[in-house]
Amino acid sequence: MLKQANPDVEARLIYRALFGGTIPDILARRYRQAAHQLDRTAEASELAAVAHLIDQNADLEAAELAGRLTGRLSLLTRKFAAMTYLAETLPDHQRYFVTHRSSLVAGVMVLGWNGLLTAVKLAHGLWLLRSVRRG
Amino acid sequence: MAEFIIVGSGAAGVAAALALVHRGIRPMLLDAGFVNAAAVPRVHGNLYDYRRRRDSFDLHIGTELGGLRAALDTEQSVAKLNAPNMAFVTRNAGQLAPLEQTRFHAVQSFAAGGLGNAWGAGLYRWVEEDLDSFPVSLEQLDPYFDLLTREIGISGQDDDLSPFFGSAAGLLPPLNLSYNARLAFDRYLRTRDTLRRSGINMGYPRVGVLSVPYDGRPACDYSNLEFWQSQPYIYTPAITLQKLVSRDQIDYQPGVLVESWRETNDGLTLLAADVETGESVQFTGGTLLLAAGAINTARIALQSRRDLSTRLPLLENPILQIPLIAPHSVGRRLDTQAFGLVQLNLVWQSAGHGMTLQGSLIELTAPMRAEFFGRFPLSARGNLAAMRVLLPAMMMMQLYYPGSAQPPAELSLSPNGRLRIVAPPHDMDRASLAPLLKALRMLGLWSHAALIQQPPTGHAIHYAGTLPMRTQPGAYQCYPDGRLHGTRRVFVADSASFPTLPAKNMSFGMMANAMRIATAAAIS
Repeated sequence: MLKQANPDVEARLIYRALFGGTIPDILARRYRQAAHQLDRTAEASELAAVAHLIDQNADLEAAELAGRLTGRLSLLTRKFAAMTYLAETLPDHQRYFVTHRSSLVAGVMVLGWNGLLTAVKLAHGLWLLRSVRRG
Repeated sequence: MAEFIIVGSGAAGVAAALALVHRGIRPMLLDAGFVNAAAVPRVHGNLYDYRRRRDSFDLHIGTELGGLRAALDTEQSVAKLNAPNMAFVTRNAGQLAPLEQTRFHAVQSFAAGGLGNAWGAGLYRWVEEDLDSFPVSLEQLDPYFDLLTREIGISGQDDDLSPFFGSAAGLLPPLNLSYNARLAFDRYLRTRDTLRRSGINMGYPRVGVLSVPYDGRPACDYSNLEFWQSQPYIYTPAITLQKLVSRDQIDYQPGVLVESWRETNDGLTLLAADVETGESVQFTGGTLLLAAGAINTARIALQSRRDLSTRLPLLENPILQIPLIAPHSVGRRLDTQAFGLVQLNLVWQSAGHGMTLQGSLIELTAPMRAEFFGRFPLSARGNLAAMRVLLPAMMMMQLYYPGSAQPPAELSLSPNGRLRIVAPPHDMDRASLAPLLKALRMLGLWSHAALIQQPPTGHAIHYAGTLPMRTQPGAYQCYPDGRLHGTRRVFVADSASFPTLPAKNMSFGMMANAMRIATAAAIS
């Protein structure tokens, strides 16, 4: 039988990886609809890999980054993208997407900090993907 | 029986109709004619103000999840066509005109007004250089360019690009530039002599977007809504279509898919299908003007001869997409009061390429920010941060090559009724763009060859040349007056008749040429 992640748990974990906190109900509902479409056309191996990561309560942000940068696990990246699109339509999520104050220094610092975090996440993500391959 | 029948209501079809109406003729216009029936509320005011106040799911995504196509599909799609309000533009295209494509991604439309409903409204006059391989002179097109300039309302300016974009007579003032575009243009004006010596010219685009109220339509309100709903300040062929219908100057017959023609001694019969029921319908007329788009005009020609063996050429402008960063704008607030499409044009007379290339510098304020998820080599949260602090500093240059820069695709009719399009593999050389990237750095816009993307062939949506005009045409070619070889009453009014494609948006040239051909057909 095809191994698939629980869509509610998946929505909760992807949201937490992107925005932190608890996913709003309306977003969870919309995400389930999108994830259903994604899963219908996904390859069994990718579905199983995502399900495994979710079962393990793994750091999905790290896994997504490693998958994206190594050209693997595009399903997880597309799930993150779908969540991002859906979240952007909510008024109380605008702060994640649009800044209304200008600061070059703050901008450079934000990018630098995220660059450092990315390096750490990448190392973790590569280890996670290895464990998925073995698992 | 109609004296003149036009097939297709896109830019070429309405221009041909306009030319006939000016001669006192009331043509019949056949069209599938889909219109926007989406129950999406119209947004008034600014996109970003709206998003702060309201849930924009209906506007951006829609219950069919069309706005999520970029995330749900593995194939690259055109973002603007995914918006719920734009879904009608490509509605049922795959069913009405099925394609088998290899290395080609055609976008087709059966909407009233055609693909023009979702265009960037770039309307560039042709100049002598653009007509090098055409059996047509610029003097034959100029009167129609003038007439269309008045009909449409085009903004622009007489500047360094006038030698490439033609006369600026009759243009409305240019649109306001976005913050980043203004800085780049100011730098161009300071370094103009150096850049021009290396073949780089920059200036305002010529766009069918109103900078001032015109002909009963309002001026651009810089609301960033260009991707999400039709805006009255952007000209689309549907505006002219609506005007001609409301004045009863054309006999508009929507809901019809034309499949083939049959010529008789005293006229011709069009064989068509009712779009909703599939039932066969026929129309008789004196003269046929084909304006169904280069691909579907060719389909009708092949189907009329039941020809399964001929392979027709299909031209397209190869494009490269160059992401650009203005470092001084990193961390700056998003310019939410910008026109969300092309800001400036750049023309590069490239000695290395031996050809003229044209770039459109585009603001990234209209698409969703999520469109850029995964484009930055950062973690997911890093991508969100980049959307906030990097995107306001980014623009995109869409660089157009002439159609001759790559071998044409081939188009033929399969026994199963599908149209087969096969494009040869072709990678554009990014390394040869080093002089352009250097010039862009002088304008304060940074990029790198490794970041340049080549979209799939067909992505420019500039299709042409399937039935090219020649001084002495052969089978599946046109005479200079647009008449298809081997016929007496069939004229090709759209870009199917182009022998070449210049490196610029072809819409305006196609409209002027459609008027020329319709006039020639009326006279003959």
